[in-house]
This record gives sequence, C-alpha cells and structure tokens, in this order.
Amino acid sequence: MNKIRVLIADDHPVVRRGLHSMLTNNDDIDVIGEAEDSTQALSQTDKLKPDVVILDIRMPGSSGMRIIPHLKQLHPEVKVLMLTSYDTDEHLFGSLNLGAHGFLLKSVAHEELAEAIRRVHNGERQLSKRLVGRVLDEFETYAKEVSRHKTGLSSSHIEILQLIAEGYTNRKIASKLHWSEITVKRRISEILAQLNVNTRAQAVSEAMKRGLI
Amino acid sequence: MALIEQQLPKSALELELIYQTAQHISQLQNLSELLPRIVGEVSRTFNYNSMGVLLVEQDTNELVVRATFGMEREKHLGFRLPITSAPKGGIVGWVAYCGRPLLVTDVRKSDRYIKTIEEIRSELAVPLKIRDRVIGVIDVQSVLVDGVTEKDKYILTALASQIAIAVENARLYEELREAHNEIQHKANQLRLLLARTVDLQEDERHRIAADIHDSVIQLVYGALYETEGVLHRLPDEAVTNRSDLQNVQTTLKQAVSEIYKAVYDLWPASLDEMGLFPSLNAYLAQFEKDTNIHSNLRIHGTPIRFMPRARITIFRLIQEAFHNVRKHAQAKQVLVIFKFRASRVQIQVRDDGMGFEAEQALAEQTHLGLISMRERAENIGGVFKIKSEIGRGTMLGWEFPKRQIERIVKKDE
Repeated sequence: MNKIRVLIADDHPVVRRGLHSMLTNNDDIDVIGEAEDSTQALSQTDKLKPDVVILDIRMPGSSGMRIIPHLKQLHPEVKVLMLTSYDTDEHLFGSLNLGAHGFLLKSVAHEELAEAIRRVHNGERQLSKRLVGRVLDEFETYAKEVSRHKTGLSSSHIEILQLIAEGYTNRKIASKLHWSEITVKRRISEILAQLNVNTRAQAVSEAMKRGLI
Repeated sequence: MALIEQQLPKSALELELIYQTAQHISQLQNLSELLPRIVGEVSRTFNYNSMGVLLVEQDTNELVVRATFGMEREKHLGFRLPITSAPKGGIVGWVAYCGRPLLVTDVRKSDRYIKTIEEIRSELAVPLKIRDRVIGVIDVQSVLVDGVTEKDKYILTALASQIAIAVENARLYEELREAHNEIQHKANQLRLLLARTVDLQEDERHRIAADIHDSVIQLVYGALYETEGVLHRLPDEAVTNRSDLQNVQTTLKQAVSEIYKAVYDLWPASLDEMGLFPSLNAYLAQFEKDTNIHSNLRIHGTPIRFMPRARITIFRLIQEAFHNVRKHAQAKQVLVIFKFRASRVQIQVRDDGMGFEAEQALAEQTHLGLISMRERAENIGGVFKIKSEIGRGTMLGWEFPKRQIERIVKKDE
C-alpha cells in the first residue's frame, strides 16, 4: 500500500512536532518533511513532492494563503490542506477561493485530521464541521444575489418585498424606510413589472418561488 | 445747607447726563471696551481737556493708566504711578492711597502735581471704590485755572460709584470668561487625551491578543497533538498512563478555550476580518446563551464598510450597553438596530427592562458608563442619546455622520 506522503508547514516547532507525533500513528500516512515558513514550504514541496501539504496560515514572512496559487500552479497534483486557528471568513473563503482543498481548525481531533488528509488525497474537499454551515450560508447569499441579478431588482426592491411578506402596508413600509408613500408605490409597481405579476401577493409568492426572499 | 446747594448741579440737563453716562457704561462687560467708553463719554459730556482712568495693580501697589482721552492721550497709556501719600505718587497716587477725591484748582501751586502736559492748569482726581476698597482713580484735567471745580467733584464722585461697579463687574466678568475659557481648554485637552488613551488602549489590546494567539495558543495545540500521538502509541495494557494523559488533554483543551475567551475579551479578532456584523451576531448569540435574554440585530438600509477605529468603537459601545442590560435592566429582550441613511448612521440598543431616570443620571454625571459611552461616540464624531423611563425599558442611541466612519475602499485595493 502506498502511504500518503505529507509535508507539514507551520512556524511553531511544537506544533510541527505534535502533528508529526500524532500522524505517525496512522499506517497509511507518512510525514516526509517539515517547513517553518512559506518559502520553505514551496522549496520542500519542490524537493520532496508530497501528496498533501498541511499549511498554516499565519507564518512569519508571507502568509500560507499566498502560496496556495504557486503550489497549485507548480504542483497541480499536490493537495493543500489549511490548518489554522483563525476561523474568520476572510481566511476561510479566501483559502477556498484560492483553491485550497481543505480547511481545518487547529482544534481538530486526531481522527478528523487523518480522515481529512485521506479525503483531500482522494480529491475530495474537506472542511471543519463547524465551518460547513458558514460556507452554505455564504452560498445561499450568493445564490440569492445571482437570482436577484437575473430579475433586475435592486436590493431596496428586495427589502420592500420582505416587508410586504411580513404584512407591512405601504404606509408602514414608507415610515420604516423613511420614504414617501408615493415612492413606495412607485417601487412596488417596478417590482410588479420586473416580476411580471399584478398584485403584491403574487409578487411575494413569485419572489419566494425564485428564492429572492 | 448753603454749601450743599452750591455743590448741586444746577440744571436738570447735568443730572440727565450723569444718569445717561452711567447707563451707557454699565451695559458693557468688557474692560477694553468699557474704559475708553467711560473716558470718551465723560470728557465729551463735561468738556474736560484731558481725562484718564487708572486701575490699581495689587501686585505692585501701583496705578496703571488704562484709558485716556483728550490731549496727548497716547503718551500716557500704560503710565504707572505708586500708590502713596508721598509726592512721587502725584495727585492720583494720593487719591488712591487716601480713598478721597482731590481737587487742585491751580496745579502750579501744588507740590503733588506731576507735570505731563505743559498747558494743564487744574486737575481733579476721584477714587473708584467698591465698598471701602479703592480699585482705581478717574482723573480729569483742564487748561484753565479753576477749569475743574467743586461742581465737577460732585458730578465725578456721583459717577465714580457707577463707574466703579461697572469696572468691577467687567473685571469679574473677564476673570470669569478667562476661567471659563481655561476650563473649556482643559476639558478639550482632557477629551483629546481620553480619545488618545482609548485608541492606545485598543492598539495595545489588539497587539496583546494577537501575541497570545500567535504564541501561547499554538504551543498548547502543539502539546495537545503530541499527547494525542503518545496516547496512540501507548501499549494497550498501560491503562493508568492512558487515563493520566487523557486528563492532561482535557486540561489543555480547557486552557485553549480559556485563552480564547481571554483573547476575545481583549480583542474580538473576528472584527478585523469578518467585520462588525458577523462579530456582533456572534457576540449576541453568546450573550443570549449566557443570560437567557433574547438578543437580536436588525439592519435597515445598505450597510457601509466601517473604518477600523469606528468599528471597534461601535463594537465597544454595544458591548457596554449589553453589559448594562445584563447588570441592571432585568430585561427579557434586547434589540440592536442599525439604520443606514443617506448621510448618517443611527444605532440603537433597546431593552424591555425596568428602565431608569436616564436624564437625571446623565445630568448629574453619576453614571460613568453613560458618560464614557457619550465620550467614545463623540471621539469618532457621533452624538449619544438616551431614553429611559422607569418600567418602560431603555433606549441607547448613537448617530454618526457617514463620512466620519465609512471606509472608502478604492477599486484597486
């Protein structure tokens, strides 16, 4: 059986040693090298040709995220698994955008890490469990945005639709949004035209059907 | 009786002039306006050739000529004379010293007269007194022998009491204004200092939080991983060792979570990368979990990107507001509302708790938390409002001009 060859890139020796110690217990995983910064991570990948690079984000010099594109370009076959203690959107979505195959938090348990290494090695993408919801939320927002874009409605149109759906009258909408009632009426007739319907109720049901609200 | 009648001004016109002059000057509150006005009005009304107002300078025990009118007036401004009965004090020095008027109908016959203008022949000096204290002297001169008389002494003495009050008022008013300006200045300095201190404190907190995160937490993770590795390599029969190690792991995990909490209190890291609203949502969720008080965030209008300084300020303001809700309000529900308007951003924290006498607390400056919330908002150009009634909940509100808090991101950034 071919072992999965892993390179660990993290600036803390204690973390590298710990990961090494933890992963050694898996018969199918072999830690073949370590790197203490992004530059070393690139050169060690060149030299050792690992299957999976475990990459910390915050390291002295340049961030782990910045070398993802280089790794992917120079070694398309190498899988990149981010392992970080930062769970912010910027790091999560940033890494995924740049093409990281997995994103794990450092609070990861041993089995979860080993399993993630196997999965990304197999070509799957892998996330820490508590991040999955966030990615789905982001996708939902994105999907709604795309859907809205197709209808030609603006974000204030959507806001009005939401208020109508919550049972607001035109006057209440006007006072809530600090507009005149005339403006609200004009916006609503724009919505009806864009959605190709005749009544407020139809507009709400159409908007729901299209996933706008 | 005959003497008194003789001293009385003859015409009603003179009485009227005294009255009007006194009226005019008593309305001025500024010494640098008042004194020239006095000498001007009096000289013109009573036709003196030269006139001066001298004020007592207590530090030096001297009289200083503060305003002049008539002949060679520029020459005498700022002139100083000692307050003494000796001849070197001149006529005015004597008057200030004795607190009584002195009329010299022919200066050539007086050994006190100090000659300043060649043509002068008679001089009258009258003290300006507040109760028994001499605060200055008015001095009038004429080119004629007997150009000033007992009648002038009577008029000027009558005026002097009015002038003294006006001068004293103006002086007090000036002192007050200076004190007020000084206090304003100090208050501004204090406000700037506070703003700077708060900024420095936030920078420091930020740095410490990042340091802890980048060093301590990483070390604990390393140790955790290592124990995990060792755990798996232990032979099956090492039961005691295994449970010992698992205890170590539990402790390490606790350590991580405690450190995260401490780091979060120092600086909500999510603020930097996720922005204000996700951080607030996370904060609200935790608050709800800790307190069982329903917490919601509502956003109206199109949100802007915040400048980092505004972002941490707003986050701290809301944190402080929630802290108050938890501590005092006994609320069931608390609501954060952001309203993004064309040029302003309004933020409110409303609770349905027991409320309090907000205006009183703010007016009496007893509630430092409220004051600091106002100051912090003002530091980034905002205003703070509070509405609360006993039994009807509390609304804390802030309003910021958009341009003060919005981060404009350039396209190529």
